[in-house]
Amino acid sequence: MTAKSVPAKAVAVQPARAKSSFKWSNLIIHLIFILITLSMVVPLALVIVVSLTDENSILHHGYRMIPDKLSFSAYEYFFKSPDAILRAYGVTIFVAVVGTILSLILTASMGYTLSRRDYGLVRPTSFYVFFTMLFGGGLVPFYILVTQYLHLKDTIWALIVPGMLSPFYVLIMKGFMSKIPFEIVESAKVEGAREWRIFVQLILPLSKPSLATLGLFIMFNYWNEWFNALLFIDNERLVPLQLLLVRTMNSLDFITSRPEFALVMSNFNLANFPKTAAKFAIAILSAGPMLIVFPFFQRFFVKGLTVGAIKG
Amino acid sequence: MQKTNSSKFKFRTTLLTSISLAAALTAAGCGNSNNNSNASPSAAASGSASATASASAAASGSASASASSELEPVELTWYYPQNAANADLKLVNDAVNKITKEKINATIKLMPIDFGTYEQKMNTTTAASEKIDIIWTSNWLFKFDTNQKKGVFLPLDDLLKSSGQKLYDSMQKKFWDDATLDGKIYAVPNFQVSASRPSLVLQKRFVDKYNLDLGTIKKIDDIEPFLKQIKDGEPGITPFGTTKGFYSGLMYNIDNRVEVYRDDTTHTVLPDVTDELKHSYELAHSWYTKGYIMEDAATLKSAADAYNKGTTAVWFDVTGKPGSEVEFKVADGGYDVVLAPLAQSTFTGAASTMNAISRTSKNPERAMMFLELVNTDKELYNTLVYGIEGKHYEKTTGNYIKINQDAGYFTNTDWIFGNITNEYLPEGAPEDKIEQTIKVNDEAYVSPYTGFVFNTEPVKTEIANVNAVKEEYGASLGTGTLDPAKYLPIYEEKLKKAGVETIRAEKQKQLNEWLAANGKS
Repeated sequence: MTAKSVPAKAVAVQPARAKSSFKWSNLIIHLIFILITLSMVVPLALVIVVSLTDENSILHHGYRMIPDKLSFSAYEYFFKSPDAILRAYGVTIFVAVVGTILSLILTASMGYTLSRRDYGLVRPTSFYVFFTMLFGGGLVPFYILVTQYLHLKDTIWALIVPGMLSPFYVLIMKGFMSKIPFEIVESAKVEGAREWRIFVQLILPLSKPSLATLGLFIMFNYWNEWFNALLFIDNERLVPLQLLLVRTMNSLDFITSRPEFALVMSNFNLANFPKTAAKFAIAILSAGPMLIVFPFFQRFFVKGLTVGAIKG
Repeated sequence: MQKTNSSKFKFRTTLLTSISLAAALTAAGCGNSNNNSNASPSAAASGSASATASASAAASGSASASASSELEPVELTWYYPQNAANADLKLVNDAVNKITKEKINATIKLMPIDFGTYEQKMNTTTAASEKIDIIWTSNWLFKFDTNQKKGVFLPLDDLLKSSGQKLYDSMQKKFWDDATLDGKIYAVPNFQVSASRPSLVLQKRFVDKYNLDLGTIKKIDDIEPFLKQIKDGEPGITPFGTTKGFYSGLMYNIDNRVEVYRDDTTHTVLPDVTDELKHSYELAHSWYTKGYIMEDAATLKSAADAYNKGTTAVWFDVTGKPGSEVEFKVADGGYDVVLAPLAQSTFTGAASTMNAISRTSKNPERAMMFLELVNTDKELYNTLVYGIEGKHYEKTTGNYIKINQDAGYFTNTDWIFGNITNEYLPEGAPEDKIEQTIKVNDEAYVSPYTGFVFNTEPVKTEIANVNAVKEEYGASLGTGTLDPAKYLPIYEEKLKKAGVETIRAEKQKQLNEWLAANGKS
């Protein structure tokens, strides 16, 4: 839509320009973008189509854009007991939203502190943040910390707290905020604003673009997170979507790839099970909501970039 | 000047406040759980408080449970793998607890983990010394020997004597031998079919069409004329399917525990590349060049995907369990299959599914009592496997039941929980499944080297190197994609460089020691 309207306007503004050359360059640009778009849309469409294809026709004919037999059995398998998957969606959405908000608050306040030139411990604090980027405690100490000291096992906080502060994002935030002229802070002080007011009413609104960008990243991280859930969640009611799907897929692979397993596994009807289609359905189920969310986010995102830009 | 100073000061105080606020927040965040499990002693105290409460409850109704009334009530946790989460797990767990409460005054917390993540999850939880009572283990998932070396499991000999004598008597010694490491029993094997018999799996429609007499198939070479018939007469059908090749020492009278000829009185460990293996490679290559084996055999990730289409006429299966025709039919696009055994069946050990007691268990003797109950109590076992009668399954005639797969509890893994001879038979299972299982286990050849475990620690690097070489050449040679005349010498040379002889020497040394220690040499 927008792509079309742009040349129309341009033509109206500059009628004197030679039409033919204009068209040619436009055509090429359009073609390039059409190709780029297709290269992204076609695979996605294929995934959707395969997830809706009958398992036997996949086995015999491979992946096809136009399936000879449609089947919803893969989705039926996941929605056989809708409770589980809907609850998993609920958990994931809650974690993503709450986690992103908390994480943004922490990241912004930490980044802001580090960006203040008049904060005396900038170097050691920055180093402290940077150090954790290079060295981690390892899986088992992490597990012990979360289960035995923080006592987060089997709570929803086990999914939120570990991902709340990423040193990398703090440094990005710091980099952005240190570009905000320090004079703003000083002049605000002259006007009588205190530190909280400066942070909340001046710095945060000015940082909208970076908040939007990092918010999106953080939200993706929370959305795709399943490993913490694997470690810490035993309660079926708290299983997030990704873990549910990862588990399903792993188990499927596991059952079909191990001969010793097939031996001991009697009467599990593999032939009727939509194995391949299920994998594609998993891709759609896990990415789908984000695909819908993203364009909305993107609007704010671009808006944030223009409105939030520092003037003068 | 003063102003900036004071503002600096203010900024610092703000910072301080915010930090302390954050600290308070974190404290509050975990304060909730902190309170009820602040320190394990207090948790234990509250546990004992509730224990007395339930003890009095038990006392009030103790007439029925006089045997268990003297036992302290405890809660046991049991980690085991499952295919998928079951919606009614809680209900089944309650039903299980009802039985165990009455019989051993204990409750069980069932902790099913799906197969794909079991290993990872258990590695972490055991490394963190989490309190667990019973852990499912095996030689293929959450490996028994590795984890025993790490000290994850408790030795069971004394416990079996004190609280599990009935359990110990329920299985022959050869089963317990598989759960024995360093002279001590570390796990309770689940009784199931533990024998394997290398076999050819043939599609029945082709066997009938070409009048193949299965009695004539004594070794794998004998199938060649049949493959030729398929190749000539059945376009679109792959005569022989394989991914990693079709060599198994079992076919050539080589022991399954150590690579030694069964009748070899000198107990000489064989090299990796035996004459039989060479023969197998040559055979594979001749079949490959004749077009009997699919072209992408060496690179296929999973043979099952190829077999699923039902376009493979014959393939080799190392396990060839009697009665597995039903399973193969399912994995073969629904075509009937017949098995042509190529060797006597061999006892492969019970290590493929076992339950062990964790080192971190607070009540090991109660865990043992529970394991004994699971393996001997028909009601408890079937509740674990099939769920609740009337809800998840219906009894039909005799020992048969009808499972309702969508009712909310469907495990399909009888072999995880315990002795399968206690189970009800699902519809469609052969009537003599249990008798067959016992018979197959009894008749299978038991290796004289049972109990010998090769300690790979001294030759760890060599093994890694050799495995890398095998990874590179194994599948290509095994499927006949590469000409053994040209590549086998290269393969052997590389194996040698990787240290294959060092491994063999070490194995021989350990075997000799073992033989001497056990008075068999």
